[in-house]
Amino acid sequence: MPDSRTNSSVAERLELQLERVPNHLHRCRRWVTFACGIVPLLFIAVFTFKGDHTIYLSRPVATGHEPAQADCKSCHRTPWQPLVRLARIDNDVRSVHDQDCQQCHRHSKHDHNPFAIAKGVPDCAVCHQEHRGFQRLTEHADDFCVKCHASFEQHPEFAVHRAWPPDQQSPSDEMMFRELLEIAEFRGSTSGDQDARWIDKTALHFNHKDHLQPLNAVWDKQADTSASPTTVQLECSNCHQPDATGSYMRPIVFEQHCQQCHPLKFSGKLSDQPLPHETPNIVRGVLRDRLMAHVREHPEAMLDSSAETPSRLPNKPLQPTPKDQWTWVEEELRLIETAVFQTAPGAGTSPKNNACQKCHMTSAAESGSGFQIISPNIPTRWLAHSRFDHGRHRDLACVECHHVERGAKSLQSVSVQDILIPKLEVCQNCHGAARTLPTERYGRKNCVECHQYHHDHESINADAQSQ
Amino acid sequence: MLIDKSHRLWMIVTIVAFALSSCLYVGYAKSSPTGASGGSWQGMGFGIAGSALMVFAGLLAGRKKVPRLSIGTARFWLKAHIWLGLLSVPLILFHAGFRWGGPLEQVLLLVFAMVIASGIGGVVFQQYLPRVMKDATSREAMFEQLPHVCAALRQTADEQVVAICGSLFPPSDDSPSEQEHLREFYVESVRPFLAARIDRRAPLLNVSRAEAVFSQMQHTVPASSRATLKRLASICDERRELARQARLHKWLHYWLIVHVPLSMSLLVLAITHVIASVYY
Repeated sequence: MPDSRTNSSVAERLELQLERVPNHLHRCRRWVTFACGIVPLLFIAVFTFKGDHTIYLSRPVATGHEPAQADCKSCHRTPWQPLVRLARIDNDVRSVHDQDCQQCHRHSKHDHNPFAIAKGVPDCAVCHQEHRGFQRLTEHADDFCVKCHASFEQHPEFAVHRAWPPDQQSPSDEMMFRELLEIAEFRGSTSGDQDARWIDKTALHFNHKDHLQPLNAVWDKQADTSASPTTVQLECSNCHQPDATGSYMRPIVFEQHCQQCHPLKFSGKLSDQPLPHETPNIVRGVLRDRLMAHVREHPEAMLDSSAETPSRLPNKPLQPTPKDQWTWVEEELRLIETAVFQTAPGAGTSPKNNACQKCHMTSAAESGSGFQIISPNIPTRWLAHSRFDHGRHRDLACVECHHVERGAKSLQSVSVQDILIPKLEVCQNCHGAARTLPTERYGRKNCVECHQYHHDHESINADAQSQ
Repeated sequence: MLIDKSHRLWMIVTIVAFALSSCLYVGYAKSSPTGASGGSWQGMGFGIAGSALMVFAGLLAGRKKVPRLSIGTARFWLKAHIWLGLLSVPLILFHAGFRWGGPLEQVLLLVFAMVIASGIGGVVFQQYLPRVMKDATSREAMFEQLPHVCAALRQTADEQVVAICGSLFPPSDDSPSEQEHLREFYVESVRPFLAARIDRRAPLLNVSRAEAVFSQMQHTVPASSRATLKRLASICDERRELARQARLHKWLHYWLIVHVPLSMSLLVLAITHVIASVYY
């Protein structure tokens, strides 16, 4: 619509003194602005005077730190550190220092420290970053781990499944192999030897494959020779039994796991009683005691061994002198020792011909039986840096992880030297990017799912020994 | 038009700055094991840059208070306010690592989002509404003068009606005047419509209904009053335009009631956040 007004007519209708015209919008905006500045200040003041600093939390703290979250200073003891971090352009300047953590965590070990410091990870807060929304501070990102362990090719605990790193001149110099060398040994040349491999240093003769074949029930035969042998199928769980936690396996103990099938018996005198599973000297002492007791109760036994010895008085029972008894015991002891400790004549050099060397490796002794039992030193735990729960893997057959050749339906290991600890790839079937198993068997793949950082080797080994 | 070709340089500078800061952020976030964090020196750098831009954008209000100060034209400050305020959004998000943070940070980001949203809304309003107002209201008046203009219009209408009817009050004797219809119509329908505040249901507020009402009245009032009736229709048209102008003016300026006060809240919360974060 065209404007038909004139300037004078418009001017007549205006209030020329603008200060008389109230500007409600400006007035309203001013008051609302004032209120919007005051209200947040009041809220902050209320929280501050109450001593509640939770409003300042950038993100929730870990569950364990929740009791202290209302007081920032309980952890942030040194103020203005973010400013220092910014001024130095250095993210290693932490708001919380190690000594702040140690106010509460005084006894925590830090076994990784020598490695960590060498790799530039000096502080607790480098890995245990608070206010990241983790419920536990151990749930940090894998990126921290791969900072040092960038490649699984060099994964130290699985080194037993690969040839010795060619660039390692002296394995013992490498800290990360130190523990491995206590339980395993590298056989072969480090350069171009196809047969070079790691072996289990356990000093025993043992054949897993034979033990998992259907076996005749030998204990039945020994108890009752007239009884027909029954066939027994051993399973891994007959010997490898979980500990109280269900996480790890109990150590193999002769009396619990071997003796039922392999009682320490021998042929000849006193063969009805099995020998104790002790050192040769103790076994010898036990035998001597038994022979002494036997000859006292059965003096006629001396006649059996010396039938041509005439009695000095006819029709008078033999009264052997202590000297005769001792001589007889020593002679009998030598005979039994031959059966127990020494290789039978004509049986070759097989170590399986007598009681001890059937299983044990021996070395020459300075005196006594002529050899010493080498301590088996069965490792209480492989992969000591890891955390594993056999119970959670109970749905898997043992051989799926512990095998010589992947895919075998039964354990084909014929020597105790075979390392049956799973390869890294076996773990990665379920825990890792290279998953090959069905979806329902996928597991978590965080580093800390299996690996501990602040592990205390001494206590781990002590626990294992106590079990 | 608020945004025109003169904003091209500001827009290019903003886009380039955004691209550069994005590259810096991606490199920083990828190199950090736990991702971006406002506590790292890079994160604090983004925070400082974003906060500086916010503060600079907020200085526009101060600049308006001292128009005589020769520190750039108001137009320059408005451009800086718009584009640097926009650039502060990605920088603040880079500072926060695209996370909400704790309670204070959540409120801070919420207020920040509302300030930015109201600001963008204001720019859109200021871009298009003045053109709409110009097209729709040919007899524009200053918003603050509207009550006074309405009073003047009513005064004019009163005078027109009184000139014909003699008074706005009903006659004392019972003899009906031939102008009585006009007087009644004016007092009951037109005069309330010319008040400073209008009932939204007033029939004269609608153009079609107003035309119908005045057309009907043309046949009711005597011929001597029709010229006055026509002038009253014109005054009602002007009042209707002023009403529409007032409505558009509210859209054009009332967003500031959200934008400015929330900016104050943002300033208070941001200062608190900075102090708490830098201290701990």
